[in-house]
Amino acid sequence: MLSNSAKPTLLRKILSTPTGAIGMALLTTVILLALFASVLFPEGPFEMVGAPFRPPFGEYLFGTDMLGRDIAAGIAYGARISLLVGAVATLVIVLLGTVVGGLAGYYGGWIDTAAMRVTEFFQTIPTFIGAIVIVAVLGPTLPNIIGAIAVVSWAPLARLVRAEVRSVKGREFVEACLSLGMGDMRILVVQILPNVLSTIVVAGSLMVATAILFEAGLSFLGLGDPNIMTWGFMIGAGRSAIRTAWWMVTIPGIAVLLTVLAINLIGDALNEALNPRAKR
Amino acid sequence: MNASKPILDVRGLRTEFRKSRKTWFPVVNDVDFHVSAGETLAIVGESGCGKSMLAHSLLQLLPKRISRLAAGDIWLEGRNIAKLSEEQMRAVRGKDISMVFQEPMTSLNPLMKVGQQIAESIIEHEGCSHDEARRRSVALMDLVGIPEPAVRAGQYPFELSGGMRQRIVIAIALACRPKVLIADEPTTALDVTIQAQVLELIDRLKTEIGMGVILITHDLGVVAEWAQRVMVMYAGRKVEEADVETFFSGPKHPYSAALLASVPRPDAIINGGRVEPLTEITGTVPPMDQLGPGCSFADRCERSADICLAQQPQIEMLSNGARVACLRAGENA
Repeated sequence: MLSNSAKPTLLRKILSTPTGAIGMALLTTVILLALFASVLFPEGPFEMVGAPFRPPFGEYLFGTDMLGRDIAAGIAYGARISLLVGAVATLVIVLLGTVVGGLAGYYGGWIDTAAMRVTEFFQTIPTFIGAIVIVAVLGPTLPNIIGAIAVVSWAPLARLVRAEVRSVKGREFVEACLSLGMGDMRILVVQILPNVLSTIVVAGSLMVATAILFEAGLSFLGLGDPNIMTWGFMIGAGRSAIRTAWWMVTIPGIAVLLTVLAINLIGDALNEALNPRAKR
Repeated sequence: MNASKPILDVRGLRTEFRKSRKTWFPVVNDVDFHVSAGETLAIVGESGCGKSMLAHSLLQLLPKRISRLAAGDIWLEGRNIAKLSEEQMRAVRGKDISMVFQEPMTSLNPLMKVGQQIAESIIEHEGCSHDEARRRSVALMDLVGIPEPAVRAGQYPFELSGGMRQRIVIAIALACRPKVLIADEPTTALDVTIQAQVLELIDRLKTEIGMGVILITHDLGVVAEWAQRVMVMYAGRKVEEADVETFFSGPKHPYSAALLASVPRPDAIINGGRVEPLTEITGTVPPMDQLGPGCSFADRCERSADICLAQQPQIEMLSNGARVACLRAGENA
């Protein structure tokens, strides 16, 4: 019998696996960097602090760029944007995907057919090109970038939720709830969605990584918000000096890599913790 | 016979399924029956004879897209619930008529504590506070004979045994003191010792709450022990209805007789000193969408005559009080 104290918490389960522990450590570092950016670098990421093209591990930890801006400051402030975009875009995607997928899976019939045709429409658009077009048309502001990422990414999640809801809806306890006179919405929200939650959480956690990559890609192409320092923008700006100042592209590149890796590792650990049957 | 006024009175119920765009076929055909408070009516028949369809029709739980209540009235204490809207029907389900399903393993939500699942039903129908609902669900668990109900209420279904889970399912069904309880093969998934406990529990609560019980089963031993009246169904129709003593002293419909003959009898083996082969009814229930004009049991019936294939038998009252739908029931076999 499991008592409450013996039941391992989700966090402890994640930390007990090596992948989860490494992922958590990396992500915590990035989050702390983002939180304390303005304390560590009160002058901001755009301030010219010294001579241009200073190599890393000297006067400045990560060196300076061609305008003499501190790259370490850029990394810290860029972490804020990456995490913000990842979190907000994922929130929008999960909300949209769960509502559309949940209703389609629960009601079936023409609602399902209509919802699935709409998701197919979105799935046929090449995602990254779709995001580029949306940002190019609406203008490169942070809300537009987040919106564009959400618009091109919600459809697969909606289909996933729909499939899961359909399978849970076919189970006998849902029929039992109907026979007790519970309403559709109540059954969907109180009875079915908790059974689908682990799938949503795992898919959503991986979505954060994808969203961060999308934002970096857009900024790299010059479609980022020009008033905000982001990792993608730093890579794009440093590209012209890659042969003389390798650190200008490498360091933000490593930042993107480690953050995305951390979130993927956590996603895997979450999957294992929430779905014991997936263990080999 | 129970002389009190029936709590549930079903007249000429006919449920149809869609075959194609315009055509429908009946799965429950012209069924009449009634249940009184404190009485158990057993509905028996093979798989596919329409027992569960009948139960689902009473609560209008069949998918609206492919089925319809084509005719008939369902009188619940003077109110015809066959005519209610979906919204009004929701208030009846779980409150006036409750249902216990076959599989206690799957009829509970695996991710919700059992106490909470009982409370959900109370909150749905009586709109009381969560604390009040929780208190009442613990009392209900005590009522259905679960030891340490306060502790058990905080457990998940997988932490309970099959018998305990079925008790939880019954507690949920009884949460709002229904007038009628439909038990759809409530003990099929349980082993025999637990089966007796669960049926005894239903029987005890029936008297305490004063509800009518519709017991759907294919176990005639269960019928003999726990029911007051029996209704035999075949291919969506009622073929025989009688009180238990009359039924077991000599079923009049050939199908009922065949059902009774196919019950395994350990004593027959022991007494004779040799193993007797089990009597079986040859063939299967015909597909409901391919019924001919005559008696649907005719092609499996030992006593069928030409007239059976041509004419649909009507329910008639026999001298012993049984109601039978068989053209040859009056004749001596």
